This record gives sequence, structure tokens and C-alpha cells, in this order.
Amino acid sequence: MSKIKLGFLVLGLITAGLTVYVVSLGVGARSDAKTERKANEIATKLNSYVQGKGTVPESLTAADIKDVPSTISYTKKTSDSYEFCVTYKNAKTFGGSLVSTLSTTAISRATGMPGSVSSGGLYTPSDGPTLYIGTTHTKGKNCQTVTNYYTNMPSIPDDYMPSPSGSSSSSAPSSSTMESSYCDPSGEYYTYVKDYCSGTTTSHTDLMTQ
Amino acid sequence: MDNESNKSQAPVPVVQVLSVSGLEYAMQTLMLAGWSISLVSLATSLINGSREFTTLTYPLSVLLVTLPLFAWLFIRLRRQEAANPAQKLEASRRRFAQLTQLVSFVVSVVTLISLVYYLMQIISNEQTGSVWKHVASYLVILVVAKAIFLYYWFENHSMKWGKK
Repeated sequence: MSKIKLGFLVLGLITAGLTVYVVSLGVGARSDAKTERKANEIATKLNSYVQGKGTVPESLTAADIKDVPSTISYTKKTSDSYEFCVTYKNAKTFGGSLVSTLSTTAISRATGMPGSVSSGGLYTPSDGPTLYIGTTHTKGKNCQTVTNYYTNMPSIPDDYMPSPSGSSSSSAPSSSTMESSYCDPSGEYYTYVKDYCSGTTTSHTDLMTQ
Repeated sequence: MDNESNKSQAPVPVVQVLSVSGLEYAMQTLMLAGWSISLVSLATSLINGSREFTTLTYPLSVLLVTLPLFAWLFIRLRRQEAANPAQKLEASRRRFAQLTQLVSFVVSVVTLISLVYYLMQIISNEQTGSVWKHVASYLVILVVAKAIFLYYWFENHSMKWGKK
């Protein structure tokens, strides 16, 4: 009986150790949740500021954003771009547990379905034209460089009036004419449309989502 | 009259409901399943680098509840068996012990197949991710399932051989 009690004592000690560890993670997760809420709040204000003014603010205070925690930092790079960093105590993923790890290898392969194990199912938002705070993040500093492409996009000519049926009216320039004017390498906006002109992107929507 | 005599000779089920201790064996089996699954889940999460509060809290909660209950039921039933050795041969006890043995055996075999399959995939370089993390995850499942299986295996065989 004493061997059994010793076995349970060992299991109890392992459980106690795990409990202490998970509770300490909980304390970190609480502060991360607070940081994430504040980062989302700031992202909304920053995005509307940039869209409204057409330029990025000098600082967060200039965009009327106050009470910024030390875990969030903002650095203006150019008049059109800035870097936004959020520091988290712990990583937050879609789950790196037994199910997500083993099922995606053994089970998915056994069923013939494609699947591979990522390093914790992490999705971090990439750099883009708007600030987006992802639902998952890595431990430590998570930075995004936001470039306001929209203010630099070539505007649609005033005389371009699409007909209700979707095709352009007779007075509007044909798409090939518009393409040739925008795809002129000496043109002002060539930098922004060169991928479209070279055929890397296929539509105007692709261009907008870049 | 013939009908009456046929009825009296018909086989009668020995166990229709669980006995008093049979119910305790059923509860002990459920608690064993609970803590072993949660322990494996916690260990594999930590091995695979998940240091998230949300991922770890549920299996830890299951472990915190099921492990003490299992320990209490296990010690209690062992004391009863020591006082009354005939209880070891009770149908309910044997049924749950055999069920546990069978499930742990199946889990061990499936895990072993998965481990061998994974190692073969490494040879062909078709696997991505950390090899040791995967191997360690499989080994954790194997150790827990094998420990449960071997406990009941030796217990059954010591009973068969007349040892205590």
C-alpha cells in the first residue's frame, strides 16, 4: 500500500507543479488580454485617422490616443508608413495540443487528407495598408509596418463613367487606353501599378488588396 | 406446467445491476480515464510548445478533479479487497479491469503504429516540424497506456498464479 501512496504522491506533486505553472501563465494571459484590447482600440483610432487625414500621425498623442501602455509602441517611418509594435508576455495560438498536433499528422495522413503541423498554429498579421491586431501572436514583440497605399493610388479619371450595365460608356476611355496610360514607366503612378501592368496581378481588386 | 419448468431452467443473468462495490469500480475506471487523458493532453501540449493558459486550463482542471477522486477510490477499494479477498473475483471488478486493459492495449498498439509510421515518413523526408516533439508526444501516450495495461496485466496474472 505504501508503494501506491508513493505513486500517488509523485502524481500529486507533478499536478501541483503544473498547477503553479498554469496559474503563472494565467497572470500573464490577463495582462496580455488587457494589452490586446488596448491595441485593438488604438488600431481602430489609428486607421480612421489615417483614412480621414490621408497621412500618418507624428505620434499616438497627435492622433488623440491617450493612456498607451508601455507594451505598445508606435514609430512613424515616413509620411505614409509607421511601425506598430505590441509586446506580449505569452504566445497565443490556435492550439498546439494533442489533437491539433497528432491528428494533423497521423490521422490526416491515414485518411489521405493534406495536413502538416505548424509550429503552434500561429497566425500573425502581415504588413499591410491598415493596422490589424490578430487574434494570435508570438511571445515578445509583435511588429507591423503599415503603409498607407490608398492615398497614393491613381484616381479614376473624372470622365470615366461606367454604364448601369457594367460596361463603360462610349465617352469613357477603353480599358486598353487606360492601361497604356497607367502602364507608362515614366508615369507618376507606375510604381504602384507595375505588378498589374506586368501581369503579376490580374485585376484591380488584386491591386487594391496588396 | 411444462412452460413453468422451462422457465425455471432458463439461464438467469448473474449480474443485472452493478453491485455496491461494482459501482465504485465503474467510477474508478472513469476517473482513471479522466486523469490519464488529461495528463497526456497536458504533457503533449507542453512538449509541442503550447504555453497558453487557455489550452492548458481545461486538461489541468480535469486532472485536478479526477486524480484525487481516483486515488481515493483506488485506495478505498484496495483496502476492501485486502479485508475481503473474494471481492477481487467479483464480476463487475473483472469486467472493468478487462475493459481498461483492452482500451489501454488498443491505445498502445495504435500509438505504436503511428510512431513507426511517423519514423518511416522521416526516412522519406516527408515530415515537417520537430521530430523529437512528435516522438516525445507518442512516447508520453505509450508510457501512460502501457503503465495502465501492465498494472492490470500483472495483477491478473498474479491472481491466476495465486500470488497476492
